[in-house]
Amino acid sequence: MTGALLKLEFLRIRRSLAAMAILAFALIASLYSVWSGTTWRDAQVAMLGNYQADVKVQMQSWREDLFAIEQGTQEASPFAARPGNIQIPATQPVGPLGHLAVGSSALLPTRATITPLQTRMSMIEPYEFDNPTTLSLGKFDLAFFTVVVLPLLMIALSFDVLASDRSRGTLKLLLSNPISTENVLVTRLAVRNGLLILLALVSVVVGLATAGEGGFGGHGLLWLGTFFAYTLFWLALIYLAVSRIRRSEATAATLIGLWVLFTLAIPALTNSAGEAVYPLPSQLEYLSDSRAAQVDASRRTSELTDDFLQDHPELTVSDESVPDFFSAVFLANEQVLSNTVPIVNAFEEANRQRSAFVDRLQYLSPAIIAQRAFFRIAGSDFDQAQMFITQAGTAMDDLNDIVRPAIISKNRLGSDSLGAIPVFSMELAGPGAALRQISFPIIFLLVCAGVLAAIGYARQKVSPL
Amino acid sequence: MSASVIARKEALVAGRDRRLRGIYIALLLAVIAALSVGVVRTNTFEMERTAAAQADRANFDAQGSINPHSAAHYSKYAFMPIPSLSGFDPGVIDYAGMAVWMEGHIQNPATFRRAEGAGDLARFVILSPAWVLQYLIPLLVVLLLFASYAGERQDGTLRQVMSYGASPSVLFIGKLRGALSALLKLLILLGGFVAIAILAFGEGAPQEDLGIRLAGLFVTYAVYLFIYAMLTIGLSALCSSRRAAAIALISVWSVVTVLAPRLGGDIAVMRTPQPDAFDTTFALNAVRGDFGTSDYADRHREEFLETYGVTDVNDAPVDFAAHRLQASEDHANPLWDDFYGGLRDGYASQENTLKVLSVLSPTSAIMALSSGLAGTDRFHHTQFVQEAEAHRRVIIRQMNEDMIYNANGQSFLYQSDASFWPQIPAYEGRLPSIGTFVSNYLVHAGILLFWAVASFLFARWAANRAARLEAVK
Repeated sequence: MTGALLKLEFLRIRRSLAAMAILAFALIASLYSVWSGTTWRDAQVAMLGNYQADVKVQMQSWREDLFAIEQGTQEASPFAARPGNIQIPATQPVGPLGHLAVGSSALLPTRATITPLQTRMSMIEPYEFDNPTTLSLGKFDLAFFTVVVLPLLMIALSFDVLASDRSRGTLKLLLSNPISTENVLVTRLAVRNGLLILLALVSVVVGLATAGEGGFGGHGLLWLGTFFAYTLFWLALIYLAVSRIRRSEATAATLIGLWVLFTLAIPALTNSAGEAVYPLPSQLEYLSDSRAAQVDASRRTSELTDDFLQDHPELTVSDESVPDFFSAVFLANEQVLSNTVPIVNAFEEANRQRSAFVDRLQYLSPAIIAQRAFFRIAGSDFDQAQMFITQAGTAMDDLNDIVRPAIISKNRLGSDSLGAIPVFSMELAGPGAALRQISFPIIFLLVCAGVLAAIGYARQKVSPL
Repeated sequence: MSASVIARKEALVAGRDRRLRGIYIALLLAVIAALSVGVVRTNTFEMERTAAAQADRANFDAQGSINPHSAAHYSKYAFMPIPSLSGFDPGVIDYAGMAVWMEGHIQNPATFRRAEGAGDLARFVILSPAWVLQYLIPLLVVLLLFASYAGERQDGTLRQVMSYGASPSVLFIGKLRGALSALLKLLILLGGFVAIAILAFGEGAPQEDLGIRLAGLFVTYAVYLFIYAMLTIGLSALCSSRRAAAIALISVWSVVTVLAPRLGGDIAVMRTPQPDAFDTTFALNAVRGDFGTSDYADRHREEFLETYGVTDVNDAPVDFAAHRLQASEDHANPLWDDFYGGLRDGYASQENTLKVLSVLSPTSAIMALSSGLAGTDRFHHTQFVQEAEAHRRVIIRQMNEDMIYNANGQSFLYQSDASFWPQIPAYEGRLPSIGTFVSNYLVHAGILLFWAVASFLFARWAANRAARLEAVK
């Protein structure tokens, strides 16, 4: 009988314009989200590549100047091949599945120029050129489709799983066969949602296939695991709702209400609560403090440089005093760095506290759990972006340690020391790290799904629809 | 049977529904919570801005005796004033830079976007009364009215009402009056909350036309909810059962309100990509260095000699190096206008796509109008950026002129006295009036009105059709 029921259900779906429209929409929207994310990723990769190539060209020229000076084949400009002019391009690579969950990458800086003549604040070149209107609307990526749209489509396909038969009076006829309501319910939910999930999976597979290396590795498996856990949660919730509520419009209203609560209201409230309980130190206060430190350092620079203009050394520094200029600017930057350490530490601590707070509150909403998991797997979460800034800052410290003796002693680096100049390469968190971060929330989702399904099943046993 | 009797009956039925009453109260509480969060946020932002502006003034004035051009590089910041109405609708406030560094030589983009510090949850939504009104109240309208015709058709009461002599148009007007009366009460209540919260507790930067903006918001949201009411009545009339009406309306709400704005934003970016950050920075640096790489510097030297009738720049009564600095600013200013004008053209192109797509979604139109009326949209931000740039040009000229007329050939070794810095004015941001941008909102307003008229005609047609069908049964 189950086979006949399955056939009947497939036939009903084929004949239902609304169901076919929902399935077609799911396929088109999810494929669009992958395409949109891939377009964004390609543009981002090209931008970072162009930037690295540009810095590489400048550094090649710097090296050639150094070799020429050492070999005495070139009249040396006093500014040429100075250790203060070393530049290291730092970029935050797009994560292996970054195109499936753009996350914070669309908002935060992904490149910085590490050079002894800049501070941590000025190492990031201007990047805030995006239209705030479109930025505020967010990206229609696969993570958004899965977290927000997919449950809605599941509800639309499933809320009247028995009510339609009841309203037509065919339910009694169906149950006159050797089959239970439980069997009808489960078969229909499985067929309708199975088709929908299968179509969404097509897009996930396309997304993983376009990820290049690693798409079908650990990251891909984690994505699939999160995807299944999240859809299972909603399936169990729908099962519980249709088991408990007889009227289809009441089922629809209840499920839509829960969807609004989980995907819109609780995340919004959690965000506001996070902001209220653990407010970040004001960015503008940070700016003011940094500038105060800069005034302080400038005074020192002034003393150290005999009033060179830091921004116009070519106008104010005589050839013979160029090394003094570099040395003075370097020392002034170190002064700014040491003055701003407490502010930066306060920021990092506030970020940690807020992140821990959201970690606890995420259990209020499956949507928060799923989104955070997708962002983490994709390597586009806020913590990764912060890690990039921190690692770039550390790389700047490392470079300064290497060039400090040469700059302070007002000499050039020897070409034999060039090998010591570090290459910045950000290590993205591997699948193991992501697994550690997301495993408990995902297990929690699965447990919730199990509990909801069990309650629905018990309800069906006690009082069949 | 008169329309007022039908309207009273609608109100009575809605009032008896305990579940609906619960949702109504929950949404009122949501608006109050959102309003509290919004007002506190706005007040905090404005307090931070005021403190930052004071600190910036103090830092700038504390530079001591230094060269004016050195001070021009350190320069000052312009901080965007936050309107009180951002407590109602934050618009793009979190995604637009709040501060502009008014540095010599360069027009910097606005920096310090608040969303950058908000973490991953910022990618969901920010709780605000505008968000509740745009997303959740339409859902309340749907729940309130989805059974208005479909329920009566399903129960057979529509035929009964018709048999009492109510014409299709009387029936429609009665249901319309019932719906509008409920919505108006809701809006007056919410409008009252918003007005009291903003006027009594809002400590944002003053908006001279706050009353007009509040009235505009009230009217705009009234039209928006009217559209939803008409769509709901119309679709309900087309459906023969509550179930069918609920499915149709929830689908429409999901597509029009939740999906369309996000998808619209994405399509707009696909059509007109965001500026490439590296190329844009490269172009920005090119503008900055253009004076030095073009032959403008040589021409300036010749013009300078001719103007002052000397053959050696050192014989002129003013400082040549400082004069050249100002000349480089004058040279760069139109280039900056072109550079940022180009970026703004890209934004306008994206927003035109959004405008076109808002024909399919009144929610997209209301989002644009609401943030515009609140003073928190991109146009208001652009106005701030342009004012900051105008101010930058004034203060950089002031510092250059101090060097031009007082350096006496010392050029970059000249130092201005510490008493000079307080004479450099701070940016006093004033919020523009809505009249400045009204032309930008006409299309959105037109689209909303089109939706209002079209949805009314649709509802009337569907209601009359449903009544006629019942009458001939």
